[in-house]
Amino acid sequence: MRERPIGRPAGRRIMTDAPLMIVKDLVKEFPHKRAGGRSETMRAVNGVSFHIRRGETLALVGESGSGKTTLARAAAMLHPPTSGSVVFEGREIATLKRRSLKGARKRMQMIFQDPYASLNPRLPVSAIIAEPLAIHSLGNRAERRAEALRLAQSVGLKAQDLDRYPHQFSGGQRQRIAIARALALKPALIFADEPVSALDVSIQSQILNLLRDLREEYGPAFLFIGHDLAVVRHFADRVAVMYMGRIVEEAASETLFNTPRHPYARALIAAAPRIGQGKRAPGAMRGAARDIPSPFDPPPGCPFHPRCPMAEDICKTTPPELELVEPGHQAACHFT
Amino acid sequence: MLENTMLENTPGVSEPILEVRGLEVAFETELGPLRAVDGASFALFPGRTLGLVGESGCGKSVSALSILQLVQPPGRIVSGVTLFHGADLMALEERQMEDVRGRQISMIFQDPAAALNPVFSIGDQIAEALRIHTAVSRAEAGDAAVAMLERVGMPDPASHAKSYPHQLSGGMRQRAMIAMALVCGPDVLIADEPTTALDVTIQAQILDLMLEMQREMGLSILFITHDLAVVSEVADDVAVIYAGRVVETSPAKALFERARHPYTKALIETIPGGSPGRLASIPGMAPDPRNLPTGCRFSDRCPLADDQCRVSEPELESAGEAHWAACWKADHD
Repeated sequence: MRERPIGRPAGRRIMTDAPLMIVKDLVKEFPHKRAGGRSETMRAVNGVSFHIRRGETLALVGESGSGKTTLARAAAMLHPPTSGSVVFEGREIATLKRRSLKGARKRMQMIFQDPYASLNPRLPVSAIIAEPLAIHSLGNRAERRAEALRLAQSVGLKAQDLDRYPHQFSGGQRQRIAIARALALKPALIFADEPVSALDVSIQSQILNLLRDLREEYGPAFLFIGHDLAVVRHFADRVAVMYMGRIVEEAASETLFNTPRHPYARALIAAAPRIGQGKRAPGAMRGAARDIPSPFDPPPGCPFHPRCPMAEDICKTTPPELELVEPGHQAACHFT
Repeated sequence: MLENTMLENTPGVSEPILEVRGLEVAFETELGPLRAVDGASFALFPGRTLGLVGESGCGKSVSALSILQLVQPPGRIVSGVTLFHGADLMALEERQMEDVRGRQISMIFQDPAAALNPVFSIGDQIAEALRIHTAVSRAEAGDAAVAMLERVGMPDPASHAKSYPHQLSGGMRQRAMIAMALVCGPDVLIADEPTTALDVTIQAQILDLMLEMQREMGLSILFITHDLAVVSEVADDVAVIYAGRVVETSPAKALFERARHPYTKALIETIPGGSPGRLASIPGMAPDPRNLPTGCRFSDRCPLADDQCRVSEPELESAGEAHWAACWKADHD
């Protein structure tokens, strides 16, 4: 078994400039059959580039259907990308076959929104947590059990919980189990897809605090998907805003929330409800007008133009590129 | 009675349009009876929005269904009074209740699929809701449905009236459900997590629509949600419910400025607010309603709990102007 990082003092999260993952021009298409049998493709992720540094938390935000989950799954090689490059720990993995991916897989783990669906109901907690160790043939049974106990305790579970089954736990406790399992292989990168969205607020803050503590202690990077902007702002170092399969703005978290440049990012931030402003006057609608366009029939030019208060002719014909608006801050809009 | 004093202390309003007193709802389960609502009391005043806030399983949705007597077996209303315009709905026959539902009090849900029939066009369904309660011709009802869709901001209402629910986006389905709920001009709208499944930009549109309809129609809204931030933007008054009981109620402004119950305070503090450190959190989890702690039901999670709290259960008591809290340790004015 690997050296235990136990006893490492808190507050040692090391974020370096060394890129852990570099994603370039990633495209993910899904085949789709229209009524009448005509086949077509839906481009869920449309040429996305980003990077994550070691120990850094990058959050993806955007409306449902914007491609956040698909992008994360493609980068994690769960759904291999249609085209584009994914360099992880210095190695191109987008072109690797399943078998050769095993090494990279060991260094990336996932946490999902629904801890009810992501835990095998037939396994006791000890086996669930130790499963990644077993898959990668690490340690013997007794060592794996000991490691499962240590992991369980590090996420706030008790020794006697190891012999219980997922249905015996509440949603928050199940998410702790899922987190313990994700940590088993000491991954360099954790994909966390809405990890607290299904939880009640009083439990949500417990799990967010746990994730923060573990991030301090073990130092993994996170690709964190969230729709609750208050949660994202609290947890992320950097935020990328997605709209219809593209990143339309990306910046350090505080910069993005304080000075969003893309009209969509502004609409999204304005629409998020906040305590302390009192009851709204009717008609003071903030946020974006109209519905999200269908991904099967994306608008030409800038995909946000039909909902954008600033749209002009160029927006209807020419898609804007992601460009630097200040150091570390990019936006894809003709009028930033 | 306590609730009567609650009324007298609410400034500027005479009488609630809808009042629930001492509601108890039990479900028979394999592990014995489960009291989902255990003595909840709250009041909705005319033209105002009452936010009924709580975490999952606290009994907020069951309370709402009880008002319309829509609790399904194995659930059962054990006791309580539901006063609508001063008359007890619990005393009505089912036939009389049918006349109240939809016409005087209507309800919308988180999932429009629960309210919209997949095999009828939304125009037909809205027209049908009108025809159940009023003597209008099919053609008049159809026109009224299109007009209602237009009022709720449905784009191209005449052609969308012919759409089936699955052909609409989530936001449009929610608009259609609101149109169906409001077409008979009810006095009270009960909205159970109406925007929880929607994206924030669409949520903002739907909340805005509800506030607009409230102003136009003089609606009183019972807004049920787990989301305190949403409540702070739509509610005039708030009732916080914990393990089947209202533990604090007051005008929204006073609640967010100075919550009196430790549970309410903690709920507000757990919301990430931009400070980078650890979040405040509430230890443990809500109790199993079959196995409540003795005394105050929040005592096992409360930082202020002492022996008194673990022995006897506090009732709602005045903690300030129109402000009520059920806590032995609540700050009072």
